[in-house]
Amino acid sequence: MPRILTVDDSATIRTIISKNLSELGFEIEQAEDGEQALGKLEEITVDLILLDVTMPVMDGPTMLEKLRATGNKTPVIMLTSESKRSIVSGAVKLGIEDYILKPFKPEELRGKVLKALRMDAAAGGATSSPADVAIAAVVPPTASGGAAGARQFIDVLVVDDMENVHKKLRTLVPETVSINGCVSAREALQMCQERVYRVVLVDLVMPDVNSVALMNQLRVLQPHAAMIALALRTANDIATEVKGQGFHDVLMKPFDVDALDEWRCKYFEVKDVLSVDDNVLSCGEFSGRQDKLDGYFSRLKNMCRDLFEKLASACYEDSIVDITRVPLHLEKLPRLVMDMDNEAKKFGIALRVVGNADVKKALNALVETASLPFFATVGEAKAA
Amino acid sequence: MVAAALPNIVPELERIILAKIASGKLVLPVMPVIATKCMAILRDPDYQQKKLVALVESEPLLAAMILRSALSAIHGGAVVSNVDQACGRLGAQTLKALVVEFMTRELFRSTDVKIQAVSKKVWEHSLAVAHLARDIAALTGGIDGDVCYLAGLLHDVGKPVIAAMLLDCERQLSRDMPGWMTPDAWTATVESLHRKVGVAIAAEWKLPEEVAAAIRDCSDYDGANRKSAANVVRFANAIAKREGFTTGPVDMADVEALIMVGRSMIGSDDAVIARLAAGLADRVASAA
Repeated sequence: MPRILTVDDSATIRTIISKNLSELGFEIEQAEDGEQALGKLEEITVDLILLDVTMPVMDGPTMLEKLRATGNKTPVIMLTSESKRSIVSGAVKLGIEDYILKPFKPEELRGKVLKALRMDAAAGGATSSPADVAIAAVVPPTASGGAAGARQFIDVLVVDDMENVHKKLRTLVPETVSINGCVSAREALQMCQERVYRVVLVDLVMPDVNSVALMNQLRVLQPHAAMIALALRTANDIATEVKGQGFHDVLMKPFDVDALDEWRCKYFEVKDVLSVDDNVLSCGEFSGRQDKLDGYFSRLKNMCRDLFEKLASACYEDSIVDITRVPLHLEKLPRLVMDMDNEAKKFGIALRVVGNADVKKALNALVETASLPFFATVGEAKAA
Repeated sequence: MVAAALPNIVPELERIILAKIASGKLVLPVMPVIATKCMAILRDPDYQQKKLVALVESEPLLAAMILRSALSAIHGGAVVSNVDQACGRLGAQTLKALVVEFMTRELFRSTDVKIQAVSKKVWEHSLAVAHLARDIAALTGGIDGDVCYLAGLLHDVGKPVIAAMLLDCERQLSRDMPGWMTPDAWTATVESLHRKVGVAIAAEWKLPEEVAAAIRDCSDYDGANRKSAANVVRFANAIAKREGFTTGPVDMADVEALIMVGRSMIGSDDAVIARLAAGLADRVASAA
């Protein structure tokens, strides 16, 4: 598995980068300044370095200069709030692969890391991770070389010999989730060489194919994707069984709308519940049955917690939460905002709330929420 | 003794020009009368297209620019047969940008061979930046494409003006001091002063503040306002240079750094940049 070294004096940022990238299957090493990083690199080799600029003891540019002076050509991505052309230009001269400006979006981090690692492999660099060796083993001769160049990102690959399964799934998830489908192992392998998937669904009963073996091959090609088994509904504890075989999870056929909804929330950003634009979180409308209202509030709370963590990692110190469209439940709404505020505080983020007059009245019911900065529009909250 | 005098002339010249800018005494290019009248009509809240059409029809070059723009694919590419229809299709905002382009184009024209050579390169570079900036704004969303186009067009507008000033000085001094300024010193003077002169022109022509900001701060990105017109122009400027639209020697590491930062700042990737740059040379050639 490729190994990445993150060099940053902020423990929070190191932790968040580690979390984001280990979710993709990478092994992460950490250093809090340039000197510590150079020390680590004497002991281990890494496939990529994520390097901050301003750090105590030894800053990023100095570390990069010393690293290159030793002949070490490990790809480096600068990840910093520094945008001065003179500094970045100096780093370009020392051969940095790419640059990410803080605050950043997790997709940018993931995209640039994947790109840098692919470029390294394509250039015949020093990478010799077990993953690379295994990839070479499963690449069919006809498709060799297909990994070079930019690969398209797709959300879901459905591997099922019944074509109607792909079609049914397409009708049940929003258009924002991109889906590819294939009916054979050969097609699946081919598609996994050409594209990058977030989730791969593999039917447990494929003709003439051992689904677990196929999943393991696909995992080599898609080390960052979640592997989900597709199984027919049964009384057996199929979830435990497939997890024991190496799958992350199981999804039952025929698809159940609630189960799909949970699956979607687990693996994708559910923008109809909560959308994010920089540090502005906009809560979506609730449109389900009343007995699902608790689930809606609970999901909002959990999603906000994860997002605050990401905002903190991207160096935001405040966040605007627009709750105008959240149902005006006099008990649940203030409780939700209080929970959001508590979660935000854990990451050092100050909350500003946006809503209408009725929302403000509802928030006045709790001491904790009555005192929060409140605005009628996102524009006013931004200007404050 | 000329060689000994050289080091002192350039800073002194800079000091004089900067002092003139600061005191508002620098003689800046005036807006052509027709452009002034067009802008007055376009800024009028009760904008009357008929009045504008009558004015535009009296200036063939401006009329041709407006017709060409209305016929271009970016505005639908449908047939327009007269200036009235063209003005109706383009709308006041785009027409304002075209009038400024008309005025700017004049600044880059010179009967002097030396200045014309410099100006041609700068004009083509400016057109490339303007086209890229408008496309980047369209792809990014939330940024006014016309403002970005204007800002791109004008970001180097001070250069031909400084070049003309230096030529005047040369004519006055060269009899007594042949070789008074080396080519490097000439380039350095233009580079160090053109932004301030450009900002002064933007103020004189009452252009939007975003345009002035793009001219004033085109060295480093503004991290506080990531998706600003000024940042879009910086990004476009670097891409244009990488595509060969340069006005002098280029430090490619510097250009790459600006592109890397711009990609992250504005939210773009290599595939998008490649699409933006495709056919740029043709677009510039047809607009130049």
